[in-house]
This record gives sequence, C-alpha cells and structure tokens, in this order.
Amino acid sequence: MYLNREEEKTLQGEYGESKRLAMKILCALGDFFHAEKLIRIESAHVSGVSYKTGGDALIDVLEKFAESRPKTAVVTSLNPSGMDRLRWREMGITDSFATKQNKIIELYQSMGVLSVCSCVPYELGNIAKSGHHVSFSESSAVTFMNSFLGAYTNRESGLSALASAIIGKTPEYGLHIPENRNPEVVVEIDAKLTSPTDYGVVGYSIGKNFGSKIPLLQKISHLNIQQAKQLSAAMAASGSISLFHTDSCTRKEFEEKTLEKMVIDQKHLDELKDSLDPTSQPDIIMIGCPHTSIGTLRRISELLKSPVSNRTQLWIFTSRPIKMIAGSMGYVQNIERMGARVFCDTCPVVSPMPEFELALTDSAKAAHYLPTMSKIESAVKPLEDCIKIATGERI
Amino acid sequence: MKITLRGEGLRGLKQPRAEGEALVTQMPISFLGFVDPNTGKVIQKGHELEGKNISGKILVFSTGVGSTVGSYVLINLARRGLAPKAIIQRESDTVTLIGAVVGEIPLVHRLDQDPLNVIENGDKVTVDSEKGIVEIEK
Repeated sequence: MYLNREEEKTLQGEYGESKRLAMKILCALGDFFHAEKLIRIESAHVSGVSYKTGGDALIDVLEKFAESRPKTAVVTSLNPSGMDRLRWREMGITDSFATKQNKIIELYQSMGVLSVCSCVPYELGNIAKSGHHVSFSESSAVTFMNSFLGAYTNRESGLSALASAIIGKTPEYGLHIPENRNPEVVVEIDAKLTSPTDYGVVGYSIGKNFGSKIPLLQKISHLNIQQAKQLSAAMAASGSISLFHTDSCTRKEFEEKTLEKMVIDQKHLDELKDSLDPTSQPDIIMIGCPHTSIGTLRRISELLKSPVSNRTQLWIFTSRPIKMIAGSMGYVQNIERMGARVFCDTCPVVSPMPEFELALTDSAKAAHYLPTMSKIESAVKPLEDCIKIATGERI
Repeated sequence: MKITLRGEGLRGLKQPRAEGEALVTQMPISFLGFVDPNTGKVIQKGHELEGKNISGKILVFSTGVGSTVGSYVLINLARRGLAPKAIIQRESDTVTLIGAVVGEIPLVHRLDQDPLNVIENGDKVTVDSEKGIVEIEK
C-alpha cells in the first residue's frame, strides 16, 4: 500500500507509539487486501467493549494503544459494554467484572472515544451521507450504514476501527470501492412481513444461506428504520452480510438475470417463525437488540398496562441518551412501575447474564447469540407478543 | 502424497511458519460464541466442529462471519497459548485477519486450489504465511 510522507513518518513512530501501532494495523490490513492507499473517513464506531467478549486481551491491547495518549482524529462512538454503568448490581454483575469493565471504558475515553455504549450510533448522531467513507465495527451497524444510509464501510474488527479512528483513515479496499458494492444474489420476499421481528427472521435466513454475499432484496421497497435495524442485525449475525440492496435503492448497472436467486415465500417464513416459537414459559424477556429506539420505548410504555408476571422478568436495553429522553417523557417510569427494567450501556449479547432457562426476545440476532454466549435457550416473538407474554396474557 | 498450494499470506510475523494437524470445516466461523476462549473448545451448538478443540491445529474454513469482536477471541486464545497454529481460509475477512495480526498467527488465503476440497481432517499441513504456501501430506 502506498503511504505518503506523513503516513510513513507515523509508521516510523515519529508521532508516538500509539499512532505507530494504529498505522501498523492499517498497513497490515491494506497490504493483505491489496489496498492502493489510505482514504480519509468521516467518523468511526468501535466494538470490543465488554470485558466478557474482550477479556484480558482487550485491556492489554487498549493499554498499549493508550500509552502515548493519542486522540481520535474523527468522531468515534463506542459499542455496548458488559453492564449498566449505574445499575450493574441489579444485573447480577460482580465487583471484579465491574472494575475491569470501568477500566476498559476509561481507556477508550482517554483516547477521545465517545462512551455512548450503544450499537445504534446512527441514532445518536454518528451518521454519514450516501457515498461517504466511515470505519465501523459492530456488524449490525456496518450493515445499516452501508445499506440504509448508503455510507461506505467495511466490516471492521473493533481494533481496526479504533486504528482508523486514531489515524482518521482506512485502507481503500472492499466496500469502499463502488464496483465491489453490486448485488451478487437476488432474494425475492414473497411473504407478508408484519413486524420488525419478521424482518429479523428473514434476514437471519438470508445470512445463513448467503454468508458474505451482497443480496438484492426484492418486494420490500419501503423499509423503515426499525425494520432495517432488525434485518441488518440478523443477516450480519448468521452470516457476514455487510451490505444489502432493495428495489428502491439499488444500483442499476448489473445483469440481474445472471444472479443466483432465492425465494422466501409465506410458507418458508411461517416455518421459520414456528421454529422460533417458545415451547415453554420464558423466565426472561429481553427487548433491545439492537438498542431500543425512543419510538419503541414509547410504544412499550403504551403496551405495558398491567404488571409483569412474577414468573418472568422483562428487561429492556437502550442507550443512556435515549433513556434520558424517555425518562423526561415519563416512558421509563411507566415501564418500570409495571416491574420491568430499562438498562443502559449494555445489551443481551455482551452482558454476563444471570442464570435463566428460556429467554424470549423480539430479536433474531439476540436469539442467535444467547445459547452460546450465556447458555440460555432462546425464542423469538414480535414486540407486542413479548409484552403480552411478560404480563401473563395469552396470545 | 505431498500437495503444494500457493496463495497469499499475512506477512511480517515473527514466526511465519507453522506445522500441524488440519481441522477442517465447511461451515463459516463467527469466533464470538464459537469457541471457549479459556480452553479452545468449540461450544457453538450445531456447528460441524462442536466439541472439537482448535488449539494447536491448522484451522481450515471458508471465511469469518458474525461479530466484529471475534478478533479478541483469537487474541485471547493466543495470549493463553491456545490459538490455532495457523489459519487457512478460502477468502479471509477483516475480523479474522486482525486477530491473526495481533495474535501472531500465520494465515493464508486465496490459494490456487480450494483448501476445503483438498485438505482433510488429520492431514499433516505446513503453512508459510510469508510466502503464502501450504504443503499437505496425506
């Protein structure tokens, strides 16, 4: 990869050890994937925050990075951590975990990474225009940025996103090059998708079938944010799909007829949904993967009219800024008055969960990770059904 | 019988050569939730390698999928001396690559023959990450 004089100096360590390390990572990446040069990015988003997923290696790496006190060169947001930073005891988090978790967040903060601790940075101001380059990790946010907003990012690892944030650049390869963004497979969705959860279920199936290919989704042209969040999260969890197109947003210069095609019809969707139905009473219901938006918090506060059943718990995950707004509107109070809890800074996937038997969630992504990450069996239902089941109502 | 595959490798490692027994899967890997970082044992239910241990093996798979935190799983394994000796992918991905860069794990991809067709479980495999060469003894 070609480096200009300044970049070369950075790699030689003239601007400190942290920047040298960051540049070394970008060069390894760029050389390996044949990038010609580094390009400027508008912003970055960094995953690798929870002590549960990052372990001691994460602390080691961050300490090395933070050594010569670098500051991020662009606006950079942080993914969820392993706990609510204020109410971690309620989540059954141990003191030693909390100490390590706080240390990780402080290391990021020392480098100027904004500790929003959320997987939906695009709802908190870290967005980009179509065609603008960013460097995002957090697979669901990668797919959302590329597909819904049309920004350009590769599926960065947490570490390469941090390196890009410090340098303000990323190697030009993969999805930063327009020719690499054309659809590679076609998925015709010949089924009625009635909730954001249905989009997650469909996305999960597409990711499983097509791994890392770029799908063109037909017959879903008017995607809203909640649908796009679930779709992006699910296809990036079962596969590594980092970009999808829909009829309305596709680039036209490709020959659709030559592409492999998959059809998801009503029968296929119904079978998928049936296979994800809970087989017994869940003892935990989790909403908020990806993090719950302000609109959904309002909806939950309207739906939750009676107390949560004593046979189950209802945990809702969001970011702290969104919780503050929801609190100022009385939504959080309405929800918690009914016995549910609204946690921030963390999520069902990266938090060390207490022991539960069966989790019900509205997210195909959360259902994918819970059995291996937390040894909790999982089931999926749309939000409205999750709330009904939480209050002991039959559906 | 000896087979040589040529492709591209991760350069600049302190020890770019590794030799070991192949562990092959036709399924892609999302390292988060796939393997226990304390033992190297595969814990993902329904994965072809469930119950196997990837430590000290030459791990052969198509590509990395899923979580972008997967790199740290590899780095944690390497820190405990439990990483695979080398990784062979059909097509590498950023998350696996960064894990290999920091964890000092030899990695090759884009070989002239599909490694998932040529390499079988238990084959003795030598990987040269600097030269991008894989030698297989059957």
